[in-house]
Amino acid sequence: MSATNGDAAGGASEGATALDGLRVVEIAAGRAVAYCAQLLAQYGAEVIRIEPPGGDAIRLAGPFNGDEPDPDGGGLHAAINRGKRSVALDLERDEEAALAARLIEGAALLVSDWREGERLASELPLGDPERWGERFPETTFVSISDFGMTGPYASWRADSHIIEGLAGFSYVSGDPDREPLSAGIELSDYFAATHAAIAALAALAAARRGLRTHVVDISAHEALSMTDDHNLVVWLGSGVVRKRYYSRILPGYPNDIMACKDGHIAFVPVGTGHHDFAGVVSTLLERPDLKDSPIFTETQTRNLRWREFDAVALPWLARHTREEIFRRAGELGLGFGTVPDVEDLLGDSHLEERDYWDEGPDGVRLTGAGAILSATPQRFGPAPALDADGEALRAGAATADGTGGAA
Amino acid sequence: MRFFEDLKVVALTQGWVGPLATRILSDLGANMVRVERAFTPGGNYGNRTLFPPRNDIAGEVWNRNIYFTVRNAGTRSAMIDLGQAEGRALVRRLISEADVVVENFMPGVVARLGFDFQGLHEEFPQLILLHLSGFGQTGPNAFRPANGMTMEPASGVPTVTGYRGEGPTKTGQTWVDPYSGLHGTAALVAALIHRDRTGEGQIIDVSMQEATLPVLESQFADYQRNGRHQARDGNRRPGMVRGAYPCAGDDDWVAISLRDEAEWRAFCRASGHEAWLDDPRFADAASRTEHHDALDESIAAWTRERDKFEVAALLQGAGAPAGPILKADEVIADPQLAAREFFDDLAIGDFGRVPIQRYLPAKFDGAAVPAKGPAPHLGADTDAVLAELGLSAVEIEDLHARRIADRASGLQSDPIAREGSQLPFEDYEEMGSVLRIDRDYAPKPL
Repeated sequence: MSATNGDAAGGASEGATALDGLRVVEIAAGRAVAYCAQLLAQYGAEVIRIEPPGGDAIRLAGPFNGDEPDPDGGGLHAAINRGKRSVALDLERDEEAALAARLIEGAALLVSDWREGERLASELPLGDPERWGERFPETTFVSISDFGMTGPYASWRADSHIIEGLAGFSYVSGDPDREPLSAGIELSDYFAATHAAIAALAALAAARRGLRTHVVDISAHEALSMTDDHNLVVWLGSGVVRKRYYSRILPGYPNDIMACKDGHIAFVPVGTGHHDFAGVVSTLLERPDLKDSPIFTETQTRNLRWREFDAVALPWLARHTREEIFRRAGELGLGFGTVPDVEDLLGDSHLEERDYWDEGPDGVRLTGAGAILSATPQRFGPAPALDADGEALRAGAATADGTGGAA
Repeated sequence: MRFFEDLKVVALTQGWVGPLATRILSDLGANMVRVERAFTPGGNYGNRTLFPPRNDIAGEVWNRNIYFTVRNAGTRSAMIDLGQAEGRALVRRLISEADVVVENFMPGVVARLGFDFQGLHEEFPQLILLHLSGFGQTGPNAFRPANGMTMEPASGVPTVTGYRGEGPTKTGQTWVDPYSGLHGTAALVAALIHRDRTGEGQIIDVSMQEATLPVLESQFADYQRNGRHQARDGNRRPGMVRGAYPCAGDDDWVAISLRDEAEWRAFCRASGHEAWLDDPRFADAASRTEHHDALDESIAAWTRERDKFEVAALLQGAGAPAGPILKADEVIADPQLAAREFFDDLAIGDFGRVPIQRYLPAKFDGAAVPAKGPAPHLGADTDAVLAELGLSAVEIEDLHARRIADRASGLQSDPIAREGSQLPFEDYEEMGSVLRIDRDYAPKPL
């Protein structure tokens, strides 16, 4: 467990991280909060995770070895609580909330969901920005919630499926004669977490410029709606309401994932060969006789008569392996997309060469840094056992500096 | 919340991932100069001419684009010819006075133009230099061509997205572009904090693939621990009642996600199906998962004649997560986004004013981060940027005369490429990729 990709960009100053010496407190409140805090930990902050005594939903989410529940052994916990410290506190009890308050007083940031305040003791006014600023003047509260702290949906409940629907995302995903489709992952959590990390970092940078923020309010709904370019552009420009159509964007075909002999490829032509689509693709598909066919020469004709293109392409793809297709396309200056699954990615030689993976418990691979910084590489540490740092942090909270022996 | 008014940023960007990062910095106050080149015949028109409003390709179509506005609102445009040594020298001067440089071309392209990041770092150690690319700057795939539609598959996510028992599928949005751009932006601000403390700049290498892989952390874990691959199962999740259900209206749907017993009970009571609480098929999460098909049929029978907004409000009021599945025009009209001031009304050249989404929809003590203004006209800031470098009016005119600098005056674009940017929406409507066309739609007047 250490910095991944550490030397790829070169010139790292030993031991330096961007957020050295900064404390962040996380009050556990779901995946987006945990992942935001983890990003801050990766950038070098000391992250203290306050969790309920039995562990939170991330710890209980698994996946577990052999499906045997273990609050310290879950795969999601191992991945998105890396490098944090853990203290278990019952924040509905005044004395435990007071301990939390002491930890927060010494922190630059608190990351949580403002709605947690509805069940917390009065020590922690998460839902009241004004009181927050008075009570914790040195700590910026970064709230990550489904819909933000204000507006008619502020009290609504949601997961990524709901938010993808509201964000215009799922209406255009899937097949035209079937139900709209949401992604197979919790997309809105990750968008919200990353937005929150940017905003938290911006607030820290602003504080150094004398501009103090007390409360940052992040809405997962807005964080995902931000991506709605393609739909909004054609509506706002031409009054066109786009509909899901095999998850394609409006112009351009092919851009589908298609089956081949040993799996799938993303038949999305890119690269220099793309500029002579008709010549290159008809050669690739071993149908030079179609080089002058409008299905090959005219983008919009192909887009509208895509089934005729498929009638040529799919049988050829079915006869060739991924490796054959990529090699042949590459020779023609054409790039396609790969469609790796998790097994493929874990064995991917490119990621290997870039020293991407972090090593987790029992040799399990965890994802690495999303950005390689040459001077301040991101760092990782093990995910803590529940309340692993409780004793030290409780003792520290009783001292003046509240550090509890911070590493 | 213009925190970064002290920063100068130079953007050598295209597409989405790069402009996303630089627009956020601009919205946060930075003086963001986008270096743009004149169109090459038949060549790359990029965001400036993609999907022209109303398919109108007359006149200065490059100054009337919504895509370009979303991705570059409030930034500045300097047209400097990087094909000429003198143009490259001017950009180098611009970089020498900057705090941040962002590029998202294929690895090696900016180096060939004379802006090798390692060299720039050595010469200007205060600079923060951000590379964004599909697969990063090193490794065997570094030079593999990439765009948003290839990077979503490369992220692995389509292998867990799709209808039950069918092949992998993308979503209908090329979300890996903005998602990885956000990671690049976070890295930039982290590097800025380090520079504020130490004066030290650095080089950042963001691979869109690597930035995105953590969204699959649970799937990586389950495969390594238990040898399992997550099956594609539409909108469902194990242990939950989760689906998209048809409603009254033109292809209207409501999304419902019931994650635990409390939400299941709330749903049954609010929808008038209290009998389901005693139905052994739905007794617990496992049995509901087992009988999800039957449950879906029953839920759809209830939603089918109802309005999607009413269903969502009813269920949310009872504590059961639900939401209408919105079309583009409905997203614009969404009351939550309106209440939160998610959109800025920005002028789109001579087209009119339209709502443009914010790229960092955060509130700092209740204050939002709106765009600084509309997107710049091509070359609109060329003269001002050169003057800020200390060039005199005479020198600037000389650069214009030699076409090293440009204001895009008299620009003629390739008519074939222009026509190619038009889309046959009526044909799409007939095919089914367009639901409808509102021919009365009009932007707000300028």
